[in-house]
Parts: sequence; structure tokens; C-alpha cells
Amino acid sequence: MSSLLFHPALPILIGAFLVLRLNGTARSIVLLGAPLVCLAFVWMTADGVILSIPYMEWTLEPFKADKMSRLFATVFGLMAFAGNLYALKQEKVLELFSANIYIAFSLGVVFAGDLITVFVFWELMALASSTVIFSAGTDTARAAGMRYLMIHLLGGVVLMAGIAGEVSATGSIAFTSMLPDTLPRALILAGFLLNTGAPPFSAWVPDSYPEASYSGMVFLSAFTTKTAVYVLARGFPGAEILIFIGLFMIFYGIIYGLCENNARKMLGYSIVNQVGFMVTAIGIGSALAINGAVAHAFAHIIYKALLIMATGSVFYVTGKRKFTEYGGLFRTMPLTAICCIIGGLSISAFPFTSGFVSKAMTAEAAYVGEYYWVWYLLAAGTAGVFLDVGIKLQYFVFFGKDSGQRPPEPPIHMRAAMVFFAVLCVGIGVAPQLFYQLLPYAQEYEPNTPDHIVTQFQILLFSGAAFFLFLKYYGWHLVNSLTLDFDWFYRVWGRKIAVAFTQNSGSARDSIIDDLSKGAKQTIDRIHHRHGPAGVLARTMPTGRMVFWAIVMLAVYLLVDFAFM
Amino acid sequence: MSEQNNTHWLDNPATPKRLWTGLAIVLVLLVVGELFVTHHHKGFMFNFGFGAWFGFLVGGVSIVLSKGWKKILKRKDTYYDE
Repeated sequence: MSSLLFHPALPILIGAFLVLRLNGTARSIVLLGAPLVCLAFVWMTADGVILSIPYMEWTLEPFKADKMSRLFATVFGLMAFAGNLYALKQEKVLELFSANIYIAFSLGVVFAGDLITVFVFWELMALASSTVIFSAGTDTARAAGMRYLMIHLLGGVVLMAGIAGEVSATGSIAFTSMLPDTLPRALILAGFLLNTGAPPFSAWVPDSYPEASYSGMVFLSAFTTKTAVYVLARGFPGAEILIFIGLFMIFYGIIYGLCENNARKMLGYSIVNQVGFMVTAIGIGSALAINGAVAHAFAHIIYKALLIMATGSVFYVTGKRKFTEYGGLFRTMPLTAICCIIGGLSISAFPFTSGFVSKAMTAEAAYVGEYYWVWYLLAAGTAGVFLDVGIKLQYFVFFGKDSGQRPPEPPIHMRAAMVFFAVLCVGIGVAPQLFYQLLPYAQEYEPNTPDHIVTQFQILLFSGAAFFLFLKYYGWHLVNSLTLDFDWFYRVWGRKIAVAFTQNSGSARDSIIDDLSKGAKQTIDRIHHRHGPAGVLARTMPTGRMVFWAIVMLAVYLLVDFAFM
Repeated sequence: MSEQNNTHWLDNPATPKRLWTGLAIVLVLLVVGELFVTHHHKGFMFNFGFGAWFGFLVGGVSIVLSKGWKKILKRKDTYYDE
């Protein structure tokens, strides 16, 4: 049990509770120190089952490690450090607390060796992440947080049903590789997929994440979807349906992202798009593809957080979120613009960035596995992302038409967090072999070859040229609007059904409540009649009457005694 | 401060033309440069100039598709509040 003291989630969890009690420098030390201790624990952790606990007829394994869990825990630790640095001056203590317990629970999933432990931490993550959204404190955040919570609780129910069925059928709670060949396993897969933002429930990502605070969205972008990628990579490698789902997510994110006017919402769509690449890789399922998926998850957490930090900084200093309200901000925010551009290049898999060296493995796996059509669609997806986040985001926020705003750069701790992640984006891209050593499977793959670099530059820059030609000849008319998505069904029809049910069931409900009230009132009246101040059983009696009845009872007792003895 | 900003090189009226010229040169170099590299894999996707026309096509199609999709499903941004 003492091994639990070295669980990497523990320092973050303790730190979260300390944050509730501390202020000023002490709080900053805890926020930055806890993730460093977590990272030290991650790298002290040996492979295998470190803690097992007997539970009913099973053995829980709440602490089990291997290369894959260590890789995810490493990037979660880095994200905790950079996220806390970025949010160092966040005044909403509830957000810092909930964000840190959310990170701790994510680490709980990553080190879980059995399905029950996975489920428990999975649900705790849903509650903690909802609180991060709620803590923004706005009406829209409350509404979006409720929608987020409902979707995730639905996912939790589906996952629980699947796990119960699987345990009942096999008698085992082990979390191992499987295929969705039975109903319970299909339900487990569906439960996991819901957290990736897979169709049809993709809209929860762009709907809820942007409603969190400037720093809340940074935390949210990293853990739920990537923990889902982790459990899919461990639980369902080679499940071919994931290729189709992943490809759908890639193009969903691009098309909706290009339609979007809210910069933070657009980054929400691009989370779905990027996770689509990872889900596709898991569907391909070879060792190279799984390496590609988890490497992409690692790189993605860093560059997506960087992008969200940069747009969060713009939101922080301007109070605005829409492209129509931005333009020309590079003049007074050059560092933020450079960091955002590095994030944009990384997400677009520009050569010598982290996105290039990670996504390349998935494309290579598709080619080697003779999934040629997947290769073409992945290449198209990469070009589409470049249009979306590589160009559109940068152009309309920092360049384009001058909005006349001259906001300052964000505070130094926010800049430091962005620079840290920007350096990591470039560092991983320039020295990929060091990064590849962290991957679960040994491989010999070199992404930075001249042919690969030239082809990638061609795909990206020619697609960019198409964007600028379109912009030059047709213009890009940004409007304050939203694009309908699948969430329309539950936000409009679902609401209508709920309202109709409430109205039509109203009279029945009133009648039942009437009957229950009458029944309760009668009971209370009867009790009051007997036991109330004037009730028979509560009435005070004169002493003489008491003595009289005592004598009568004694006389009866004597007569009975004489008569029968 | 604003006077300084107005002199930024990106605000120079000649800059867009220079950027277009620079982009065109880079694109040409990328296509010509492919003559000097050897592809490690074989297949249609590694034919000469594939990345160039494929990238341009994907860029154009993505923009047209998104514009069309937006046209069909666009609503006021207060749609769900009403």
C-alpha cells in the first residue's frame, strides 16, 4: 500500500487541496512544484503492477505502468506544469482546484490496470472537468457545462453497461486489448469514443470548452480527449471501424472550423480534427500506427495548449473572442503572435515541428499497411488543418484588417508558458529521435528525409496559396453566426420533448401531489388529534385520577391473585 | 506608439505584392526542387508534382465545401438563446 505514496497523481491531488488554503508565493510554489514532483514520480515508476487490491472476487490494479502509460503521464505532467504557470494569477480558486484534481484523475486512468479503476477515474474526470467549465461563472458557461456533463454522464452509463457485460461474460476485469466483437465490448468502445468527440456527439467539444475561462480551456483541451485516445490505443488497437470514425472527425473539424467565427470555438473543432488522426491510427493498429497515435497525442497536447494559450491571451487582454472583432494584433502582441504561429505550424505538420514528426508515422503506417486511400485522406486532412489553424486563425487574429486595437502582451507568466511550449514544439521537430525513444514500440523511422520534407511543403504551401487566392479574388466574409450541428437534436428537439413532457404530465403530477398532500395532511391531523397538546395521549391528568386508577389496578391484581392462587 | 506601428513593414502598401512574389518563387522552387530528391516509396502519391496539385486541389475544395456547408446550416449566433 505504501507504493501508493509514489503514484504520480498524488502530488497533483495534494497540490489541488493546498491551493484551496494558500495564497501568493506559497500558492505559486505549490502550483509549479506539484507537477515537477509528479514528473519525478513518473520516471521513478517501474514497469508492471505496482499496487493491487483484492475487491470482491477480483483484484483491482490501481497502479500499473508501462511505456505507454509513462509517455501519457509525462505529457500530462508537462501540461500540468505549463497550465499552472499560465494560470498562476487566476483568481478563481475553484478553477485551479478542479483543474488540478482533473489532472490527477486523468493520471488515475493512465495508470489503471483494470476496467473498474478506469471507470471510477473516468467518471471523476467528468465531474472535475465540468467544474472547470462551471467555474468560469457566466450564464453561458453554466449552460454549456450542464450540456457537457449530461453528455459525459451518458457516456459513463454506456461505458458502465459495457464493463458490466464484459465482466459478466468473461469473469475478468483486466483492461487488455480487445475488439468490438460483442455487445459489451462495443458499448465499452462507444463509451471511450464519446470522450474523443467522435460522431455523432462531436459538438460537445466546441460547445463547452470555449466557455471556460482564458486558462480553463487550456486544461480542458489536454486531458479528456487524450485520455480517451490512451484507452483506445490500449483497448482497441486495430479495430477497423476506428479508421472510418477518425477520418470523419478529421474532415468534420476542418469544415466546421473553416465556417466558424469564434476563434476559441474554432480551436475546439480542431481538437476533434486532430483526435481524428489519432483514432484513425489506432484503427490501423500496427506498432508504427500506435506509435504514431500516441506520439501525436503527446505533440498535440503541447501545440494545442500553445494555440489555446495564445488565443486565450488575446481573449484575456481584449475580452473578445470573434474573428470579426480581431485583426492587426501583431503590432502590440508580437510574442503571442509568434507563439501562435509556431503552434499553427506544428498542428499543420510543418517540417521541423512536433506535428510533422508525429503525424508522419501514421501516414507511413497507412502506406506500409496498404491503406492507400487512408494515406490520401490523411494528406488532405493535413492540408485542411493548415488552412484552418495554420492560416485562417493567424490571419484574422494577428494580421488581416486592422481592428485598431492595441492591446498589450499578456503577463510574464503567461508568456513564459507559451514560450516553453513553443520551444518544445520546435525541439521535438528538430530532434525527433530523442522523442521516439519514449514511444511504446521500438522503431527505426526517420521523418526528416528530403523527399518527405519537399512533398509536405508542397501540400501545405499550395493549399495555402489556394486560400490566399480565394481571399484575394472573393474575400472571406466573416459573419456573426453559428453553424448547426448534431447538438441541434438535443438542444432543440430534446428541449421540445422535455417541455412537452413537463406540460402534458403536469396535470397528472398535480393530481398525484394533491392526493399525496391530502393523505399526508390526514395523517398529520390524526397524530395531532392523539398526541397534540389537547390530544388524549398528551393531555395532563389530575393526580387524584391517577391514584384512583392505580388503586383500581391493584385491587384487580389482588382479586386475581386470591381467585387463582 | 501608433505612428511607430504605422511604419511597420507589414503596413507598407508594397508589402502584399512582395509577399505574393515571394510565395510564387517559393512554390516554383518547391516543384523544381523535387527534381533533386529521390522518393523512398513508390506509388501515385509520389509522382512528380503530386504534392503541389493535390495541396492546391484540397485547399480549393475545402474552402468551397465549407462555404457551401455554411450557406445551408448558417443561423444567427443567438439561435439557441431564442
